[in-house]
Amino acid sequence: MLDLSYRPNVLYLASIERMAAARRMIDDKPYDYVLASYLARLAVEAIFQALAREGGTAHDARHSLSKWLSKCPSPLHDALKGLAEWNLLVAVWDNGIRYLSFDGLVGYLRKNGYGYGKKGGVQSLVRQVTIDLVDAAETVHKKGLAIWLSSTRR
Amino acid sequence: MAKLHEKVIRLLRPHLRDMHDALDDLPGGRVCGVIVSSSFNSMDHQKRQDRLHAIFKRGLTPAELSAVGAIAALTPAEASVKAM
Repeated sequence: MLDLSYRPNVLYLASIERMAAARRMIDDKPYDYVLASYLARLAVEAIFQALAREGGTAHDARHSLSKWLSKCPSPLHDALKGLAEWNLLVAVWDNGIRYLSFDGLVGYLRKNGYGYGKKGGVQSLVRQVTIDLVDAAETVHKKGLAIWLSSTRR
Repeated sequence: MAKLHEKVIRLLRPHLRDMHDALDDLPGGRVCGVIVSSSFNSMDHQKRQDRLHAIFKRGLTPAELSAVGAIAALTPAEASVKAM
């Protein structure tokens, strides 16, 4: 069977679709914060994989964003250097989030130190952290897209 | 461990409590990855990045500074708590 999923152009297009879907999960009811977090991060991983694969890196099933970044071209490193959004994304996201219920996500965020000292109930806490995460992922994703577009225009 | 990686760790260690090095050596001598420290516990994400940059700016040459890539600064909880 021909496997298209590791082709750079397929990964690039998938990354755009996943990011749009993540945004829908927090913009349109019924909200799904677990799915929004998962999709946003998946979008970033997909564009990183596209860039790494375009540069000749073999497929790797691991999901560490910083490991994928290490396989990407240096302009992406320069673009992410010092960026709070990159820091937040690496700090908050975990591949196991996709298996969590809403309550599980609350527990995970609290164990990570998020939500303490914030006003509002559990729903507003999770909503705010998820919006921050999706915003951060979108910023990082756009940096990746810019590198992709500049490298494929040559 | 590459030369720049060693220097980065040497620079950071006196400033960051219980520091754990999860940096990667990249081709061409570049360094990127993750640094874990309890010193980041009370800092937001921008402040952590500013802290790293301030330390690097004081101790690295301009060439070394440009060879340091994106480094995420995590608290011990962020580095160890797993969703599953």
